[in-house]
Parts: sequence; structure tokens; C-alpha cells
Amino acid sequence: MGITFTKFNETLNYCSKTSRTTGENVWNQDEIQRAFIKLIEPCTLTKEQLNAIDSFMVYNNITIGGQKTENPSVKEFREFMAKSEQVSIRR
Amino acid sequence: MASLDSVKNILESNSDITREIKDNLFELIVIFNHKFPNVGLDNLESHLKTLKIKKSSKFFSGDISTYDYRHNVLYFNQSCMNDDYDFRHILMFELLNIISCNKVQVGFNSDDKFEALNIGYTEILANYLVGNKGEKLIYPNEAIMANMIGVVVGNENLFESYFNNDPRILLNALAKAGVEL
Repeated sequence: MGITFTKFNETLNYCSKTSRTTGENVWNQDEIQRAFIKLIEPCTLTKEQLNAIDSFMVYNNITIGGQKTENPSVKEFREFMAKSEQVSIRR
Repeated sequence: MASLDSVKNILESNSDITREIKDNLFELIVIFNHKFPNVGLDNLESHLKTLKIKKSSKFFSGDISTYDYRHNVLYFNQSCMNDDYDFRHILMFELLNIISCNKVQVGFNSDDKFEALNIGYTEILANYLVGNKGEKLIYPNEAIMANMIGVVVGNENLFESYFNNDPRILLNALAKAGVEL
């Protein structure tokens, strides 16, 4: 299920302002990327657009046991890309 | 309509800005005008007349700098001055805030509703204009998200929204792309 830009924007503003003003880093790039995927779910994006978004995605900044691992949102986005490409092929 | 010459004259007339900063600022203004010749310099000229630049240790955030558009004061965070920032990049970032300020808002950040994206887009522009040679980045998270939004709405719409102080351009472009507002 998608989210509205209002909700997405509020999340960005909250994370940005809190991280900057309190020193507590609440910006979770993986969660924000997930929210962004939900935001663009209703959109029909070209292959170029999808590739461009993919190039901006942050791949790994989750640290588990001292090791950086891939953000789950990246896998989610790749699935979204594959689905989008299937839809455009059918068209 | 303001020109580079008139902007230079106004900048020179401001006795509150040091020689060094005047020279740095004008160099960046020329770079900006060369890359974006169709963006008006009237707001900039108006602000440069009375712009004050201050160092402060009383920052409530960890930001290296901030432009208080309500009072037309550019603050630099004294406690961060020895950190490894590219100050040319920082100054260009703040110059963009000054250029895009119409006294009511900065860029498309109307009523503080679009603060994060506006910061992110300003950072994208600053990187484009002068790069960033510092070890420390400023607002990388916000820049990443502004880049992604730019892909969806078209960078030209972000640009127009920013320099015309009109968030409706951004919102209309999002709606046109299929995003639920």
C-alpha cells in the first residue's frame, strides 16, 4: 500500500530536523527508502528513471554485528523495478 | 534588473563584510551567474546591501552554518570552524539560500513545510556549482532524497520551484507523475 507525499515529506522533515538539532541521528536511510518506494508505487516510471533512482539508493549502511549489510529496501526496489519492467513489456 | 556589476557595487558598499569574504562571495556569484544566467539576481542584490556575517558559538544545531533570512544574517558555527569542511562549498550553499530568498521563504520551502527537501536541493546545487573537497559532507541524506524526488518530477521542475519560490510547481509535478499528495 502506498503513502502520500504529505506523510513522506513529514517523515523527511522530522528526521532531518531532529538529527540536526538534537545531535541524535534518527535518519534511517533504509526506512526512508522503503517509504519512497511506497510513494512511487502508483507511478509509471521509465527504465531510465528507475535506473537513475537505483543509482541514488544507499546500498548498505545497516550494521549488524559490526558488519555493514545491504539495506532490505534495495531488494524491495529491485523487485519494484522488475515488476515495472514486466508491466511495460506487456504494454 | 540586477546585473553582476550592480551586485558587485552593492557588495562593495556593505562595510559589515570583510574584504576576504567579499572577494570569495563575488567569485561564487560569478560562477552561479555563469551556470544559471537566467536566474535573476534582484533578491541577492537586495540582501547583500545589509547582509551581516557573524561567527557564533550559540548554535542550537550541529550545522556548520545557517542563513537567518528573517534578519538577513549569515552565521558560521565557531565550534565547527576547525573541522574538515570545504568552506567554498559551505559559502556557495549559503549563497544559494540568499539568492533564492524572497524575504518570506528560501527556495520552495514555504512555511517550513519542505525544509528537508529544500536543504537537499540546495546541497545538490552547491555540489554542481563548486563540488565539495571537504572530508565532511553537509546534508548528504537530504541530498539523496532530493535527487530521487528530482528523478520522479523532473529536475527542471525542482529548479523552477526553487528559484521561483513556488512549491506548487513541485506538488503539481508530483501529482502529474502519479504520486498521491
